[in-house]
This record gives sequence, C-alpha cells and structure tokens, in this order.
Amino acid sequence: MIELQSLSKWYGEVIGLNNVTATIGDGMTGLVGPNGAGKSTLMGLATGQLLPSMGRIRVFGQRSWNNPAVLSTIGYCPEGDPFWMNLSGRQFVSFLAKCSGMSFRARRKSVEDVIELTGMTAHAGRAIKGYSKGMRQRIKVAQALVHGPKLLILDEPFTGADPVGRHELGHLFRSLADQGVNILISSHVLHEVEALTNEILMIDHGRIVAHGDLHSVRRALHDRPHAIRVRLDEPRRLAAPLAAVEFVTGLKISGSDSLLIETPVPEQVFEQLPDLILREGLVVREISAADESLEALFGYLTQRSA
Amino acid sequence: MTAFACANLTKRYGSIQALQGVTLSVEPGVVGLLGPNGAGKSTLISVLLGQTLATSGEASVLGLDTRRQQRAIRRRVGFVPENDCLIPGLSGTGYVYYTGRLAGMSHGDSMQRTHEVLDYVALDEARYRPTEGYSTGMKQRLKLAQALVHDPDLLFLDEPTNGMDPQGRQTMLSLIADLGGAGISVLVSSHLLPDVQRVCERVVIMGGGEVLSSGRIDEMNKPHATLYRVDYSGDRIAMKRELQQRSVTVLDEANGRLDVELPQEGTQAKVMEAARQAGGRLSGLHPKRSSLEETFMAALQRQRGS
Amino acid sequence: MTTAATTNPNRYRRWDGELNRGNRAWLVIVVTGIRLALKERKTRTLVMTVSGVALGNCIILYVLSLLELVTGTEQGRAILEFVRAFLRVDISGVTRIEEYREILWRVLFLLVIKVELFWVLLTVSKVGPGLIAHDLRHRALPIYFAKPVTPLTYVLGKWIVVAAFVAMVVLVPNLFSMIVGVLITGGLHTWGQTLGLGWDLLVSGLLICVTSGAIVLALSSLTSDHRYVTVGWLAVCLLPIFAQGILDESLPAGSTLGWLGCISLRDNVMTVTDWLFGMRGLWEASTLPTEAFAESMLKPVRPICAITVLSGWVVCAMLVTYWRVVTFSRSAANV
Repeated sequence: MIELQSLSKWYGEVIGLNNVTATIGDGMTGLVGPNGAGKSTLMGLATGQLLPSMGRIRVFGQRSWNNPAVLSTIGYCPEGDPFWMNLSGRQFVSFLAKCSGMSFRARRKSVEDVIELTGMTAHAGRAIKGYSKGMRQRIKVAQALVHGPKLLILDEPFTGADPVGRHELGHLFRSLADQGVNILISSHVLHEVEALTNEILMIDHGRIVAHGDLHSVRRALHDRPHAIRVRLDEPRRLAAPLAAVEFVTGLKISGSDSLLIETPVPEQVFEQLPDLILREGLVVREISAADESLEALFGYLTQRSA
Repeated sequence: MTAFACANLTKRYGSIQALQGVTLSVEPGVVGLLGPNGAGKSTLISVLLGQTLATSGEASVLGLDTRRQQRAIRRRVGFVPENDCLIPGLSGTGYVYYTGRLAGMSHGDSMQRTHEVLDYVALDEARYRPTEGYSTGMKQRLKLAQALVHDPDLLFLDEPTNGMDPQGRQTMLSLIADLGGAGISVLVSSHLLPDVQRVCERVVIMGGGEVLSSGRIDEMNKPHATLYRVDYSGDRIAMKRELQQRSVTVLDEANGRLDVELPQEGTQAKVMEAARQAGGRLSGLHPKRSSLEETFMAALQRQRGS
Repeated sequence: MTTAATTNPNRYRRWDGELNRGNRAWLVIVVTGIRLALKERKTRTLVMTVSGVALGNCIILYVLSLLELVTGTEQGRAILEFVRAFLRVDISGVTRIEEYREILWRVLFLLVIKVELFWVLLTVSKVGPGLIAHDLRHRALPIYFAKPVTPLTYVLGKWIVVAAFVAMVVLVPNLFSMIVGVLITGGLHTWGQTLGLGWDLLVSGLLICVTSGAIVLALSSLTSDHRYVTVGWLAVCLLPIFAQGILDESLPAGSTLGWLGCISLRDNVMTVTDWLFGMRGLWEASTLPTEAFAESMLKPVRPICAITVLSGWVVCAMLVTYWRVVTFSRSAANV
C-alpha cells in the first residue's frame, strides 16, 4: 500500500523522518509515537503535501508528490482545523468533493452519504465556526471519505471528540476497514488504537522503532522479560512453587491479591501454571500477560534516555 | 465533609438549559466528570468556581456557599482550564509566581511555592524560558503548577490530558493520582475514559444537563463472578469438549479466545483442569468486567430511552 | 546511636502558609503589567526620550530665571528687545519679568503638555492594546477568575498600568521640571507663588492618565487582536484632528465646525487643561497686550462641555470594558 525507501525529510536542521524504509501493508495500521516523532511528516509525505528530502515514497506503487491520479484515491483527515469557518458543513464537504473532480450528480449523493455516515446530518446546515471539536472531527472525516478513497489517512481523528464521538468514529473506521478501505490512523490514545487494529507502526525521533503485529513486536523484544499477572487470594502459596520453576526469573507480590511473574519464555510458564494452581488447590481470579498491551510496548520502545 | 455538593441546580443561557436540576454530593477524592459535549460539565465547574451564577438551586464547595462565599472558595480551589491560558511575555516561573500573588500569597511565599510546585510537575530548566515556546505537555504541567501554587483543597481539571502524547498523559495521570494521595480532592473532566478509569475512584456521568449516574468506579466495573474470557492455544475442539464435561458453558469463540460461563463462583479450577486435559496452553483467564465506556454508553442510552 | 534521616522524594507537599485576606490583587496586576511592558525596548525608549522634553523645559525655565536676574538692567532690556522681535509681541511695557513669572510658566507648561501628548499617543499605543486583548486571545481570564480576583479588581489593575505609563510621560517630567524650575528660580521663596501651578499640573496629568487609560482599555477589551486596538486608538486620537484640519482648509474662514472639536479627545483634554490653568483670567489680569500669539492660546473655553464629553468617554469606556470582561469570564468556560 505505502512503500518507504530510505525516506528522509528534514525541515532545515529539524528532523521530520530520517532514513525510513518500510512497507505498510493493506488493512488498518495504527501510527503511534510521541509528539514530534514524525507522524504528521509521514502522513504529509504520503499525501503528497511534502516532498521527500531524500529517498522515495510510493503509494499504490506510484509517487504521491504532484500526482493527481494517486491523490484522488487518498482521503486525508488532517490534525488541525483547516476550515473555511463561514461555510456550512455541507458546503465544506461539497466544495472539497468538487475539488476532487466529482461530477455534480455523484457529488450530491455522495455528500449526503458521508454526512449521514459520520452522523452530521442534523448539523450539516450550520456554519463550521459554531461546531464543537467533536463535530469538526466528524466533518473532517466526512470530507476525507466523500470521493470514495481506497486509502484513508487519519491524523489524530479522535482528538477533542467526546466519548460518544470516539465510539462512533471508531465503529465507522472498523466498518470501513471491513469494506476493504486501507487506513493509516495516528492517535495518542493507545487503548483506542489497540481496539481498532493489531498492526502497529511506531516511530520516534523520525525513525521506526517497531512495525508489525502487536504480539510479534512484543515477542521480538528478547531482552525484556515478559510479565504475567495472576490474581488470587494467597499469592505467596503460588509464589513458593513458582520459585522452583526454571524459567521464572522474578516474582513480585503486590498487595494481598496479586502476583507478578517475570520470565523470558512465557509459553513455558503458561504450560506449568495450571498444574501448580491445581496442585495447591488455589482459586485464581485472573491470569493475564501484563505487558502485551500497546501501552507497555510504547513505554519500552520510546523511553528517552533522560 | 463533602468536596462539593449541589441541590437541584439549574442554569439557563437564553433558551439553552445547560443544567437541569443537578443534585449531587461528592466525597473528597479523585473524581471523574464524564459526559458528551453539551452535557453541562463546564457549566457545572463554572458554577462551582463562582464564575457563573446558577439560575436556581444551591451549590456548595468545601462547605462554602457558591453565591455568597465566592472569594473564600477561590482561595481554596485550583482550576486548570482546557485552553492555553498563558500570559505572553512571562516565563514559567513568572507565570506561576504571578498566579500565586493573585491568590493572595506574599512575595516570599509565592516564590518558594512557585519553585516547589514547578519541581513537583517536573518543569526543570524550561521554567525560566518564555511560555510561548512550551510544548502541549509542558503547558499542561505549567497550568497544573499554577493551580497548585496556593495549595488548594480541591482542584478542577478540565481535559487535563487532551492532545498530549502517551508519555505526557502518563506523567499527568501519575501527578493526579499523587495529588489524590496527598489529600487534595480532584475533579477531572475528561473525554478520555481510559485515563479517568486509571486515576479516579469515583465518576459522575452527566448528559443533557443532568446527572445520569454516579458512584465508585470499582463498583461500576466489578469483575463478573462467572463470566470469563479464556486465551487458549492448542486443540480447540478438545478444549471445548473438556469444558463442557465440566459443565462450563462456552458462550462464544473467536480467534484464540473462548468466552465461557462457569457453573458457579470460584470454580475457575475447572478451566485449568480442562486445559490440562486438552493438552493446550492456557495463556489468559480474564474475568469479564464492563469497561467505563460500556457503563457510560449504557447510561446515555438509558437517558435517550426514557 | 541512631540519627534521624530525612528523605525528600518529589511528592506533593502541602503548604501551611496564610493567604492575604485583603484584596491586593490589583497591585499585583499593576506591577506585573508594568514589568511586562517595560520589557519592550520601544516602550523603554519612549519613556526615556520624554526626559528630553523635560530637559528642554528646564533649560527654558533656567533662561527665564536668568532673565529675571538681569531684568531692569541695560542687558536685560536688550534681551527683551530680542524677545520682542522674535515673538513679534509688543512687550514694551514690560520691565520686571518676575511679575509675569506665573503666566510665562503656565504658557510654557501648556506648550510642553501639548508636546507630551504626542508621547502619550505613542506610549499608550505600545502599552495599552495588549493588556486585555492578549488575555482574551490566550483565554487567560479563567486563570484570574479562578483566583480570588473580581472583574473590578482586574479592570482596575489593567487601567492603572496604562495610567502609570501616561504618568511616566506627562506627570513625572512635568512635576520634575516644575521642582527644578522652583529651585533655580529663587528657591523656596518661589514655591508659594507657583504652588497653584503644581496642583494644576497634577490634576491635568491625572486627567490625561484616566481618559487615555479608560479608552485604550475599552478598545483592548473589544477584540483579541492587539493590532486592531492600536489602529483604533490612533484613529480615536488622530481622526478628529485630521478631519478638523481638512474642514478648516476647505470651509471659508469663520465657519469652522465646532462639533468635531467636541468629540476630539485631544481638543477636549486641552480645553480642560486651558481652563484649569486659568489662562484667560490670568492674561486679562496682566498688563500684557493681547496679540495674535496670545489669541491663539486663548481659544474660547467651554470647560463644562469638554468635561461632560470626557467623562462621557470615560464612563462609556469603563462600562464597555467591565461588560466585556464579565461576559468573557462567564462564557470562557462554556466554549
């Protein structure tokens, strides 16, 4: 879908992206990273708004800079508020549809469709300057969808939206992805990214620190022992036999009902755990991998040496 | 002693009914204030701060009446607004010092406290630089410092983590949790439910100017006693058979996960036995709990239904 | 033996100090406002250069005191002759200058105030526009009104910031040259004679402070862009003057429109100052001949009208400011 080849972008001396090579596959990909990591730069390059300083970027096999053929297949939802504030939501979407070269008839149908899809029907007649942040996000998404793109690039589409808006937008993106639209979405709220997709592109300081399926990324971090959390009433009774297990490198009892097991090979521990629990006759309320979340990975991979 | 309380509070702006009969009594502690846009959260905070007069009804903050004891209230509360709120030309130190003086602190006290709270929010050398160049995260922490400088007993935070990157949010959330531990009541108004879930003990859910639901988060999201999600890899059919033999009902299954219902409370051991018999690997046992998002959506749905 | 160890982790620490019960927030706003404005190089330059005017004023006062010393002598007459030729005023009847000391000083200070009004125009256009506009732009009002600050305190504080700068370019140099003048012209003996002038300088200076402060503050509260305020302030000050000038040119002599003068800030301020200085009365009481020069100094004075207009300006301006601040402090939370 998007291929990056030794791609670099600098703004004067300031780094945007530095020597990035990757292939972003079909489906939905979550783009995460701290502020200033280069997320928006990557999106700008993919949508042909920025010219690479070095290297190449290909979208559907073609360069995106100054290439209307490719750009007409991309829908872009920018981070900021690039509105004509006095236009109504409908006029705004319709105008951008016109810019995409849609005919009058196609436009009329499509504009109403995307407004409906983003739940803006009731507000589409009002001027954008009176919109709340959540409505602005919705109308930006509508605008990105209006020309039926094959690739959606969404820069922080949830920011400022209320929980209802987040829920509905998330639902919309998932159903679009199911319909075969490719999506590249960035967000600071890692829970939400995780709920949308397992495919992650994590960047920091303009370089890729992790790319791929969440679980395989976690497995690739060999030097980090995995953590398994077990909730039960008498954690010490389970800790004692676990200490004898070969692969367990650390045991931590926190509170009166929680045991944290550290191990480089969680599979081995998972295999032995039911036996131990049954042998001791314990009642376990929860077993979970404590650090397989995107949040934990993000912490490991973007820690700055302070 | 309550942090704040309202009785039948209403507020009308022209034809808009921003608050309609809010009755609420909130214990000290870290409290989340949730609601979609237009739910009346900002109006409620504004009334509690004494910046807006309620149309009818009573409200008290820390036992002080919001109509007659505005200044006494404002000496004991801190407010972190959602917007930038900076004063151009001032450095971080100058800004916090200024707000300390505005609160009525003497020069020496204000200077001491300024550096103390800036240390606390971890604004290091940046505190001597003009605030215009601050990042979003630094601005948020500076605004928190500003609200803390006169050591309030109650803190109002309006969207404290909005637009921040994951690390910034992490820092802000741990500060909020620590403040709660230090005996300061905090009211966090936020659209980011995971953040609220992490730091708040209680939540108040508002919608359409009314309180829809309020209570302790851990009571709202009590783990279910018999509904579990099981991560299992291995022979799926054998596992299901073993589970059924032990009268554990399989409700649903999706890639590597089984949703099961135990015959009664405390019989998790049956799942382990089944896994051992089936010869596969059990890598997770998660009690079903309704997330804050589900609680929130359910509360809104109930309101729409009625 | 055990020693007590202290650890100091960076946890939140409570503060047990006392907050000031009185409402001194206005003072804090004033001090910070002045400090911030003085950070601007141009503002500092303006305040500095006005001392040049004060210096010129002092030099003229010194020359006058020299004239007083030589009055009655041959040399004095020669100087007076020169002055007469220079000003084209018939002052052949004048012999002892100290008799006309007060009127000369008043004429002098009136001229100096006119010059200083130019500095007022520039200084206020540097200092005033951002005062409230910046707070509106950055939505900083909730910061003030979450602290024990009332809208009145806020407006008062900001007003005094402008007033302080106007005082720095009018009041301070005038009073300074006044004192210098008294000291070099016969010391404390002169004090009694010129005390009235001192008061008049103080009152006229305060008048300028109050009116310019109120008007620029009202403009500043109307928009969140300080550049509009600067333009607005210059328009309020200069447009009536320009318009009057054009009308004076185009209309036949004698049919000048008085109403433009009525709304012009500068004209009204000068009218009230003229009246305060009591120029006409003094002039008529003196034996000085009324010549063209004097006529220009003695436009018909209608102080009641001017005072009404000025206080109208100030009251309207303050109401606008207060209304804007109150509505913004309430609506800021609802945006």
